[in-house]
Amino acid sequence: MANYQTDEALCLRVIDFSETSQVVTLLTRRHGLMGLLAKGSRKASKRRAGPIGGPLDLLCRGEAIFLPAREDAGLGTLTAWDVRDHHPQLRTQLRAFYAGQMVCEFTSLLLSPLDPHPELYDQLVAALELLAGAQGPRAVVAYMKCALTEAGYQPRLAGCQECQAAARPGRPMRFVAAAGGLWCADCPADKRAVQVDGGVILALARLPTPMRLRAQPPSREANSRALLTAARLLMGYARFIAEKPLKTYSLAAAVFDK
Amino acid sequence: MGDSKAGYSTLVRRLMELFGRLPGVGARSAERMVFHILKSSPEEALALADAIRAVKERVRHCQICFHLTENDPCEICADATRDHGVICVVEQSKDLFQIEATGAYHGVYHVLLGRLAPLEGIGPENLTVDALLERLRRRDERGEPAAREVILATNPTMEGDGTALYLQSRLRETGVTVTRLARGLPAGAQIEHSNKAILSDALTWRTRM
Repeated sequence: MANYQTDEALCLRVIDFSETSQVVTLLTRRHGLMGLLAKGSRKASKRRAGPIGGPLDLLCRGEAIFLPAREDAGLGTLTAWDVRDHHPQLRTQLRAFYAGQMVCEFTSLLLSPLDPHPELYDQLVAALELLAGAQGPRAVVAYMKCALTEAGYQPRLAGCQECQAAARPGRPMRFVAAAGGLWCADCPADKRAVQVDGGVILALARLPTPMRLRAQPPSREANSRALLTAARLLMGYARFIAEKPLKTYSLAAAVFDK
Repeated sequence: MGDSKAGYSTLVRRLMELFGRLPGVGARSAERMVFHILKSSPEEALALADAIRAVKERVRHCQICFHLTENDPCEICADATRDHGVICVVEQSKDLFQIEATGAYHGVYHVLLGRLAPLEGIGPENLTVDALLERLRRRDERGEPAAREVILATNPTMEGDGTALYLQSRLRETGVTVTRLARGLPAGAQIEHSNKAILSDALTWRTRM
């Protein structure tokens, strides 16, 4: 009997496969990242597209019914898709659009297929809701930190890995991607370490999760410069982990530009 | 599993492979096409080959709007009866054909040759954005801006909308009026059967009556 599954999902990648079908990468809440063939999804009308209801779009959230890939096959089959949120807020502001692309790539880069992370899924949903608002830049960095932590690469920001000296504003620190942690200026560190001010590290360490940001938005204004530095630090770390450059790295300046 | 092309000569097999690379053409259709070519007269078959060669050799992008054309400028850009003050920006020539087919638009076009797709590594430098800006800076014989309105007709997908937002930000400096194609319920649609994204768009972009 066919093993159909139902799950909530976010669409992280869409490729037109033929005149009528798409190959999509969905981040499902309980089943993780999944590559699926959406047969007939590109047909013009909802009636002709069947239960998929039309073309899937990037970062849309919905409920998916799918047949997961068999062990010997790369793609599963999407049999139904019901859009819950197509994120109009990401379509009306360039900064939010870029931020959405950044968190989308960050997720795809760090997670492995079929490895479920329901907590990270919820954080991504919260981050996407915040991207067009005042908390948008904070939400991007907060989500990146969450994604690294969920993927098992939590950056160690408490202090110098050698002498335990705590980060503080004005104290130059160095982040070593290979070790996922900090070194102070006095201790010998890897030559590829990234210089960063202790104040940025403190702000990054204290940054709440996107769900927390949504529930209790901080009243004080975010320091865009510090957030940009923190985002670049985390993107560099992700690039080291995945051994792949981030295509959205260049968008960071526009997202954190005041 | 056996080779489905076993027994065919090298030339026939090669033609099948080439037809099979066309969009929407599978192995069986490619096989049928090759048999049709083999059965047809030499003139008919060679006319097809000549047409393919001519298209590849003579069809190029218009230097003004980047639409596919044999003549430069293209027929639309060269048509003095069209309104050259309104430029409709589309992602690809296929979209231009669709808009032309409506008969409702009499301005000119600008084909971007793609859309912003950061996840695919496609940025503004891969599109014809600079050429569009250059076009908008031109003045007519009275010293007035050549264009007064740009209609952003990129697809209403996340990337199409992102492209429109990017263009809007770049076009601000030109002072030209920037509009976006309307979105929402198509004529003849029933609310009962519409998906939530379309309905949500229709509500967001509702118009005064």
